[in-house]
This record gives sequence, structure tokens and C-alpha cells, in this order.
Amino acid sequence: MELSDEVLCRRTAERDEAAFDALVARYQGRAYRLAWSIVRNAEDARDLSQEAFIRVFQSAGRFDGRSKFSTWFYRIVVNLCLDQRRKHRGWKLWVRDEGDPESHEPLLDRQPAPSQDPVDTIGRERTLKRLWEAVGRLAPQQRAAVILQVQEELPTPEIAAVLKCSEATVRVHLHRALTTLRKTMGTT
Amino acid sequence: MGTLPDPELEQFRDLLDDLAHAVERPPDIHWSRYRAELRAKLEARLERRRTWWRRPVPLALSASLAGALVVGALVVVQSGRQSGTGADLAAVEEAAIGDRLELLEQYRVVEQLDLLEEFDVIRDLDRLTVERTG
Repeated sequence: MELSDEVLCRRTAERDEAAFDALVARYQGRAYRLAWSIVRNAEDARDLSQEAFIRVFQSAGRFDGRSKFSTWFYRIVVNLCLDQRRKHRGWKLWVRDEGDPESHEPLLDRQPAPSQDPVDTIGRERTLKRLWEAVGRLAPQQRAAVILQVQEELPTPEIAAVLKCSEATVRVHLHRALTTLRKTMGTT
Repeated sequence: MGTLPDPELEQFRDLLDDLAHAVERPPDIHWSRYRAELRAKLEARLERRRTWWRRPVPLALSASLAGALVVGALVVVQSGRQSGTGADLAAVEEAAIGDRLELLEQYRVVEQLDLLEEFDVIRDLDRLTVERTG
């Protein structure tokens, strides 16, 4: 019989390495994919997802079982990714703003103008690629909310638990994200 | 009564569908290497934590902290004792000052000061005695 995530986590807290390995095997794909969706860099995603597992090993005893293990784990991954983005963001803003003194809008909130190239709108694949690229330029919380809903297919209450905010805030994030995406894509 | 679909909501739904159909996959990864790396990182982290306590600086810090705690405890105990003997000291001081007061030397007089309140009666008693003898 397969042990639940919660049982494996409890055993990890008791320093059961086999239980930890089982959790890693179960979540490695999701952790890496989620991290990559947020940071968009394979190496960073690998490091961040591994760091998330290390945090699980170190603090498994603090998992109180009130939420699902997956929610708790996603929260660790998302927090690590958002922290990493925040660190990089300061540097990127500085670099970008040097050449763009007119702009006062934060980098991640700036949205590109709708493409003028009609060729881009011809192929659907290309359009969808642009759409995900636009997701990559969303504000971090909005982006995380979109990824958790679309990619991980989490319901709103679970997204709220992962992002540690209210369900209403998640809806606001999603609404803003979709409004921005619609504008970016020129209402495709 | 059903509500008509909001055009904005419809657009959002389309966008979400598009996103869901075009979820991008991250570059492939060698999972056994990934787990080996993770194991190595975890071991390194645990080892760092173990050796941290063996280093001279943490040891010195721990010793200083322990010393500070002992000194603190001693100070607390000492101040407790001082506050306990404080009352005794005050009593001794009062006695010393009292010894220097002349009034207290004539303590029997002081004890009989209440007789002053009855002074008139006492005086009259004296007169009555003279009249009776006279």
C-alpha cells in the first residue's frame, strides 16, 4: 500500500531517509516544473527545487498536517522562487532603468505593446508562445497565481493557501493577470 | 434565472484555455543526477550544521553565553539576598539613631506623657489633698 504524503512527511521528520527519498521521487517533477515556470531558467529551477526538498527535510517536523502536504510543499517552492526573483529584480531594474530614465513603472509590471507584426498573429502556436512569454512578464504574485491555476490545476482555496493570502486576493491577482494578458495579446 | 455570459468572462475563459493548452515544458533533466546532487547538498548542509558547533568561534560564543548566564544568575541571587536583609539593616540603623536621641534615654518619662492629658485633674487632686489636711 502506498503511503500518503503526510505519512512520508512525518517519517521524514523522524529522519527516515527512505521516506524522504519517496517524497523526492514523488514531487521532483512537479517541483522542478513549477520552479521553472516562475523563474524560467533550468539551472535556477533545479537549484530552487532541490533547496525546497532540503527545507522539507529540515523542517518536516513543523508540518502540522492542517493543510495537505502538497500545499505546504508548493508554498515552499513558490516562496523560494519569488524570493529569488525579488533578489534578481533589484539588479535587473537597475540595469534596465539606466537606459530608460523616463520610465517609473517597475520592470515586471511593464507590459510590451501589442505586436505590430501581423505574421505573429497567423500561427496559433506562435500566439500561444507569446501568451506564455507574457505570463513571464507578469508581476510575481499574478504569475504564480496563473501558473498554479493553469499548470498545477489547483483550486482557488489551495492557491490562496500556497500564496498565503485570501481567496479574494487570489481572484484579484488572476483578474489583473488576465486583464494584462488580454491587453498584451491585443484581445486575441 | 440564469445570467448571460459576461463577454469579459468569456475572454478570460478563452485565455485560460489557451494557456492550459500551451503549457510549456521545462528542459529535460536527468533525474538520478538530480537526486544525487540533492543528496550531496543535503549532506553538506547537515555536515556544515554539525561542524559549526565544533568551530572555535561558536564554542567561544557558547562559553561566553554560559558565563554571562552564570554571572546573571549570581547577580539575581545576590540582589535577592540583599533585599532580604534590607529590613534587618534598617532596624539596626534605627536602633543606632535611637541610641543617640536623649528623649529615648528617658523612656519612662515618655511612657508617662499621657498623664499630661490628665494634668488638670492631677493638679486638682493635689489641691483637694491640701484643703483636706488644712
